[in-house]
Amino acid sequence: MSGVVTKRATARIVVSDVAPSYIPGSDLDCVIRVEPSPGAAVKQIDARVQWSTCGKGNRDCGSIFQDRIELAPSDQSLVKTLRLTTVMPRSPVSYRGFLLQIRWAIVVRVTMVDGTEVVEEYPFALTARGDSPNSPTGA
Amino acid sequence: MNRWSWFLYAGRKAFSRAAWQRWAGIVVGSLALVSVLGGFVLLVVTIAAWTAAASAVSLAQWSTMELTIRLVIAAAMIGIGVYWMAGSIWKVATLTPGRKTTSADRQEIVLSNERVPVSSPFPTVPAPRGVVRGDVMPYRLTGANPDLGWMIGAGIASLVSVGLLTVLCWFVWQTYDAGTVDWWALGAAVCCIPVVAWSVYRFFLKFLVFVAFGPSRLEISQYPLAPGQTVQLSLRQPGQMRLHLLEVVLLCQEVVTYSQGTNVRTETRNVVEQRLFRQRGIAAAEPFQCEFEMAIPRDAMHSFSADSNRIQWKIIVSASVRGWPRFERAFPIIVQPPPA
Repeated sequence: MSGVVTKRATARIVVSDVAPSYIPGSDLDCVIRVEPSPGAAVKQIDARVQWSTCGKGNRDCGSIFQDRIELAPSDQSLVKTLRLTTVMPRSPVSYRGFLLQIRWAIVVRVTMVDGTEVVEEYPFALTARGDSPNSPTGA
Repeated sequence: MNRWSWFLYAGRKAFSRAAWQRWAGIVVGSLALVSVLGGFVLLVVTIAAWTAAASAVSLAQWSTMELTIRLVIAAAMIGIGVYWMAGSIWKVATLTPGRKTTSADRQEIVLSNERVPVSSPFPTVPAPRGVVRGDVMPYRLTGANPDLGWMIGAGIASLVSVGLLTVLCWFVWQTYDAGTVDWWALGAAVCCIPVVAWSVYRFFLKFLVFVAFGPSRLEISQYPLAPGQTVQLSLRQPGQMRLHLLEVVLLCQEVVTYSQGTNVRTETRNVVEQRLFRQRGIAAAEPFQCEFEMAIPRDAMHSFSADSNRIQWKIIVSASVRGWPRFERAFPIIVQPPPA
């Protein structure tokens, strides 16, 4: 479910209530839970809902939701639970082509007080009918 | 003033339907090309002689008056040739296919989603611009000629190669005049001849094809489009020649740009290719007109445009005439996501 890029695992990120696919105009409503490791302190949490391309071409990306939370020193060692709610746009829909793919994901980036970062991506699909992503042949 | 002289003077009716006018169009095109190239050669020779005056050849043989006359003649030849060519190209670019008077109220149609001032309801989908009111169908698509860039490139290559050959010939002539033969320069000049002949031939062919086929008019019943939608298309192709084959194809392409070392490369792949219309043997007696259906596949991807990645839809109108290169016009269309 998730692709993890971690410099040093100093916090655990769990995103729940993410559906495998959404249709344009529907509500994306999920819960983000950030659990710092014992002794670790979280400085800020970035959450975004974004599309990005992958494939042969250079990467393009865009976000429809972006929020950043700076934690007070008293909260930095506590478990933090956030709610992310947004309306999905009508485009671009998910696509699996020959030279390029369009993917949607919820990306959560946690920055620790010591400067390390924990990033997790929770992919999902945006499709016209809530089914599988478009393919070049329309099959 | 008889028909031929008036025709040559005004450069009008190039490639009209009558046989004599069609051949006259080719003659005018040839004369324009010869005029431009001749003027260019004269210009290069004059400049070469003028610059060589300080070293070997005495400019005393050429008075200031003679030098001026040569330059004026060269400029006039280039000017007349360019005028004829530009006139023909301009006529093709602006001519309405059916010689039908256009309505006074023709204007750009403001499409519904262009009225939204702030953000598009379809992020990353290009706005459906470049559509005007049609005569047969509600909308007329604006076409692009992919051969125009090639024609300009071929024209520049022709001028450069002709200039190079002229300088080499001039140099060989000067050394021969002085009693020796520079075999290296002679060899280079001989090697240049096929390059010059090929580049001039390619340019001339592109130019004639561009002028001869006339503008294509493609009109559509609904616009912009959406996956699963079926629309009516109307094609009007005036042309001045008997077409061996006329074909209309719906195309969806993935276009990606990527960096490879210090180079930036672009790759294109057709992902949907659907033939909409095809007919052989179209006479040139009247402007050809036909109507046909086009269905966008139900699960097809919508148009998409980002910095380095694109999904573009287009309708390609292509035609071929025996003995001529294939001619093609592209009509970009926008396919929006399906309605919610």
